[in-house]
Amino acid sequence: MERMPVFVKIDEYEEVLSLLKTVRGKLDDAKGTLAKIHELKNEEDHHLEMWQNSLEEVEKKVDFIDHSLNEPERYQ
Amino acid sequence: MAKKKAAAKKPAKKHIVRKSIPKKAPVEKVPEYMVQIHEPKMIRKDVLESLREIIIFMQGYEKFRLLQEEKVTLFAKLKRELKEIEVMIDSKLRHYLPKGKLHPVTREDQKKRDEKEVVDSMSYMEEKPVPVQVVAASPMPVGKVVPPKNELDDLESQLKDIQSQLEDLS
Repeated sequence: MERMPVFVKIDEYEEVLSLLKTVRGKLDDAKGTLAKIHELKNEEDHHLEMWQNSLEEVEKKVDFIDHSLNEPERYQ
Repeated sequence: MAKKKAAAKKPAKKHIVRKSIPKKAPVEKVPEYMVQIHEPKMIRKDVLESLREIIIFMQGYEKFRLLQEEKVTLFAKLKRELKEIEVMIDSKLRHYLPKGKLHPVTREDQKKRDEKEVVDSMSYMEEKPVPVQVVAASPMPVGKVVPPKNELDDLESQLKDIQSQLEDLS
């Protein structure tokens, strides 16, 4: 289906271009901020993973101590 | 007077006779259980390592808290930036551009419209003249003003238009 061309009249063309440039700059800023947030989130995830591992390690050690104290080997 | 007061304050010395208390022999605390630890070095090592892990954990918590504070600051910054963008697009750019209620006109639509106009003009020419009744002019209703459409409805109708146009495009 062929369409007729539509022309839109813009009186302050230069201002519109300048505004679009500013909006584009703001969008870049927002993208940068979002990237930083993403980076921090990754760092937080890394910390959480480390904590998970270290807690598991401590749990293993406490289990060993508990086992040694509660179920000692028989004296031979 | 002063001497009297001083004399009154000083209590009379009492001779305390200390009774000799027989000394008790130190009682050794006997443990109730005796547990043989097979690998004492290993247990000691495990305890120390656990402590070290927990201290590292707590240090990490401090770093984590700082990260979260920084993240909250960045969230606030992002919110501010998005608000600015919204203001720029919503108030300034919309002000420069015309309202988006334009429909594209196709050649077929144009043809149909032209034909309809021709038919209307023909029927107008063929119509008989109707006798016109003269009625006294009544004053225009001043108080009744059509309330403007809610902005949200307006936006919704624009959105529908845009969606229908997008569907046409696809």
